[in-house]
Amino acid sequence: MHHLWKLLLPAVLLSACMAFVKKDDSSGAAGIVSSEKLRFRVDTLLTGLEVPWGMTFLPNGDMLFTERDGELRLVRGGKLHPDPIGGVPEVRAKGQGGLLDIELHPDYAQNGWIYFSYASPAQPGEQGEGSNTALMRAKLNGHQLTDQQVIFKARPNYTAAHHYGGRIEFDREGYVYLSLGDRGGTFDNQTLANHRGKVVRLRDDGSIPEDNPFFAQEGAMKEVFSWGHRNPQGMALNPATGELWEHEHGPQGGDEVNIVRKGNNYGWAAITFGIDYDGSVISSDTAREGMEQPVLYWVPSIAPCGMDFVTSDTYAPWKGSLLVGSMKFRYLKRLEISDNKVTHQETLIEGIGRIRAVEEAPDGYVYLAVEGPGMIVRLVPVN
Amino acid sequence: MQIRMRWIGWTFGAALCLGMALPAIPPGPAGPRQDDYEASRQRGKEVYMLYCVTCHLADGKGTPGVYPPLAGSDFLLEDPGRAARIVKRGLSGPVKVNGVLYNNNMTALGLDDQEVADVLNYILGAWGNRSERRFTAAEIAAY
Repeated sequence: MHHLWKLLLPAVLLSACMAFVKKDDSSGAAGIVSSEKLRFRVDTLLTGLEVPWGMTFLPNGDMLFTERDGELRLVRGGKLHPDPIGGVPEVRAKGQGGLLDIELHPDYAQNGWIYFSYASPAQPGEQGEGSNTALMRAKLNGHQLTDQQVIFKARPNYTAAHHYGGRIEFDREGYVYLSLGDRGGTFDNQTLANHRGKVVRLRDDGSIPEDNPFFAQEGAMKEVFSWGHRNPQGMALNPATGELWEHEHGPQGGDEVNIVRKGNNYGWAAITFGIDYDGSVISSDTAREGMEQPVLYWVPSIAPCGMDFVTSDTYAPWKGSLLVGSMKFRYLKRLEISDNKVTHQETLIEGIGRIRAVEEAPDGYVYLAVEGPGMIVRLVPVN
Repeated sequence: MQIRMRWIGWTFGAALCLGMALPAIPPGPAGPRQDDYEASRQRGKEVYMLYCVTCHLADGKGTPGVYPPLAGSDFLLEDPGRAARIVKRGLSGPVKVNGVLYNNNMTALGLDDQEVADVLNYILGAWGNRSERRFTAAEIAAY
């Protein structure tokens, strides 16, 4: 039977390529996209990837990106290094798990620390079977990671292989935040006694800040900064306010954009704008006392993944906008924000693929990591 | 030359017939026994509810225009072997299901061969689907 697959493979690949070419044609002459406020083209930098999940940019202009199946890759001078970087952690590459986000320490130029999130298989002595989200930091020496330290692992492990969250972000004071998914199911979410559906806040070495909101609360996980999340796969610091923003997958409907504030409960699964995948009601409430309302929610779901704020003069008319990738509808959303409210939404580059990561790089360009077709592209304004 | 062409024609025709007949072949001696099959379907439902339900939904109807249906899907039922390969290895690009074109991407899920066999056995007999095709892990391993 695998011979048949071999026969079919070229046809499948060819049709995928044809679909891509067709899309370029529809975006206008020479692939130029005329959006509401900006004309730009999509520069395809790398192709042939699988599921690139996180990207970051080194001071020397190199790019690092993760492949969810467990590879860390280096791009130098626009070219992909043929060998994956050595020394990455063992990951559980199954379902939504694997090697996830990557982020540099704010003082990377001085200390060389790189942070990774990943689905970590259960280790001896840990509670529960399966895996959960972990945060590692390490240094890059040559083409090898060294000084690996696991500075956080969500508890307990679960056998399910979805809802890992996994985004890493630093704030202006140097604290590192990691988003954690609920690991599936509508149970055990409205408790501080586990790491299901939380955003955790740590010092850069993984130690727990004493001013975390539940640090002194008995039975609570001390790392928790905010709770009641479902599966946050986008997180970015708003450059205008210094506050942390996240988005998260709802169930069927009810994807949310939230401002992550100390001690806040975002309500999952007690309140939601979505319903379950079998159409059943998860909660009849969309609001309750003591639970936060989202800045924005989407019904139907767009399956958001990756986000970043536009700060660069490269995209002057977009400055201050929040860009959010959609896996379901294979487009990029641009959200205009005023006084912490979304005042306008624009859909861009519909059909590009399942966007996994959105990053504005130090060179001022917005990069997108895309799955199906697996590629990294850059948006380049044109006159 | 004519004979050679005819030979090619016969070979092609035979291959085509074989290809069409394959999915309909009921499980032979290598297929799972009935109680193993029922157990496989039960496990398959659990796999489905973890890995598939977010896009194809609990009723197998998918999301119109975005994620194709599995319930009553001609694409699934006319070639379960192809579906098994997609579950195992993923699918990128356009497919036509019940006359509707879908152009999204299904990532390889990282399931082991037993899980692929189980979930196929579940979806081929759920929501009104009545396929005779039954999969074993050993068979999936060869894909």
